[in-house]
Amino acid sequence: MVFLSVNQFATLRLKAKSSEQLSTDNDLAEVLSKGWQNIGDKMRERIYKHYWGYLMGVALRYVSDRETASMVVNDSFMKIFTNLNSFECEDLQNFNKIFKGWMAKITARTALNELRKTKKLSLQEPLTEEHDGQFAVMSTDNLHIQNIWDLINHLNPNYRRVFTLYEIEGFNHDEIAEMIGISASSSRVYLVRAKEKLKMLYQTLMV
Amino acid sequence: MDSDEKKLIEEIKEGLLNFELPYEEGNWENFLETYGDRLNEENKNRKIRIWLWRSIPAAALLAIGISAVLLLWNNKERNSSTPPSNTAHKPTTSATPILPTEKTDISNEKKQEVHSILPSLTTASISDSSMKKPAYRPIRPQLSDIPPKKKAKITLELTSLALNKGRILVFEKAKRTEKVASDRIHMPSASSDKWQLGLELTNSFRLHNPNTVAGILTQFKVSEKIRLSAGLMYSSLTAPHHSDPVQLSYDTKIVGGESSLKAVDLPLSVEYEPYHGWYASVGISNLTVLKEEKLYHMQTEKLQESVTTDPATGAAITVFEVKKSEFVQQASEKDFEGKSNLRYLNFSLGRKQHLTQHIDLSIEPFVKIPMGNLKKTNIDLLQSGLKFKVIF
Repeated sequence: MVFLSVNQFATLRLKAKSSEQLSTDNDLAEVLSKGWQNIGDKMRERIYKHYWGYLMGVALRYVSDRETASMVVNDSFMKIFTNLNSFECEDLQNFNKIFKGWMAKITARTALNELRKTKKLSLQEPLTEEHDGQFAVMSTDNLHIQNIWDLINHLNPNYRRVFTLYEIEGFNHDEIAEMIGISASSSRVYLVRAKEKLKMLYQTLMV
Repeated sequence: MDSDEKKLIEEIKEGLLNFELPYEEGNWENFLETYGDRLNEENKNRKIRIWLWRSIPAAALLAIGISAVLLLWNNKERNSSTPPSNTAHKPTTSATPILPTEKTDISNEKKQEVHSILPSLTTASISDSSMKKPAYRPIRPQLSDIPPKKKAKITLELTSLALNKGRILVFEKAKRTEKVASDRIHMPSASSDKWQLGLELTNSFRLHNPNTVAGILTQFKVSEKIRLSAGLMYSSLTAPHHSDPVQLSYDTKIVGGESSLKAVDLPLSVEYEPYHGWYASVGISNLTVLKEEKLYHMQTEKLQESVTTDPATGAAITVFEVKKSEFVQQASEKDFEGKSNLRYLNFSLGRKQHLTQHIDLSIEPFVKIPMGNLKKTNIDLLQSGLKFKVIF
């Protein structure tokens, strides 16, 4: 697994959510929530352009290079558009959040499949493997996105995958076990160790 | 988990969830270039699927409607071919008041006299029309030699006899008409016999659960020996996976699995009945899978270490043992759900038995062989078992 350096990520801008963007976000979500089952080409284009950046962020949690991430995002959009009928949302107030969560899950699965195809998904990593890395020492209390990526990227790849799949995407251990080919108990162990490692890294290097 | 760790995890979660890249121009165009055709194809397939979904209930309604119309028509035809019973007896009842039934005491002598005249009365003269025109008129000239008083009495008695005979003949005629009508009921009417409606229940045995299929069917009689049959069935199937074990991790592997399908089956078949009651059937059926549940049978092997005491020396010995355990895990992926282009090739042999005059019971051993997309996976969807049909 190749990690993105801090500098590489520094070039990625965190998209600020201005009030104008929020209203666009809400507009699209409102239109979509009224009938996502039958959408035309125009709406597809709007969805693609609107959520592309978000799904790139999701893909980059699993694959390191932008080219692969872009391919994963396009594959994910294809699946999203063809399976839009199966998306279910009863809480229309939180449509955008639920829709993003659904798309993120599809993207995570697609990214893991891509890793499996290119045999980058290691199944046999020992639980004790440590990952050493260089960290920028931060003196501020609040974490910036670069710091977060630093912490995440310096985790053992399996810890990182289990952590993001469980904590960010919301999969359960059985689903994670099936997706990355480990047992559910191993997934639980990886999660605990990922959290311990993150805490340790944060306390040692960033405080 | 302490509060610092919780806070750290929350901050990481929030940071990652809000992380987005700005949209880069040209990506949508690239997407369209790469996936445009596939997307259009998927759209087309989706429209076909929607059309199929809508056509299934429409076809069912149509089949039920046609069957209902045919049954109603059949009943109407039966009613129209049966003469109303009151009309058959009407002439008799209308004739009754004019019959001198109380004056039937005729002596043997007079009977002989009457018998000498009666041959001139033909059956033809005592018909429906004879009831309208009194029967004594044609024979009046032959009674000219009899004295007037006697003649009047004989004439009255003759009338009575003739009308009685007429009544008997009318009864016989009515009976004949009824018989013809009832024969007509039993005789197959060409149009009503061509279409038949039925119910089907199928049982095929797979794993520990029987697969059950139930639904309605309609048959069209092409000729005495050939029938076309179509139906709408709801299927609940369980099928095992045939594949080699797949090692997922150092201690876990997939050793098998099974899929449960809920589907709608649309069979179309041709039945050939070379001998009365015995028939063979061949056809295809189209399966639309509504719901699928896929389960993997997993096996884990764990090295277990235990310490025991050597009975001979009393020393502690470490014993390693591989413990195997199996569990079932639900798969998230689906092989068939939502697909409607799945086909079976169906063969069966059957025996038909009349239960009542209008209801037949058929028992058919059958085999359903998966074709095309159904055959491509490692899921064994071959089915065999018994069909029970009630045709009416």
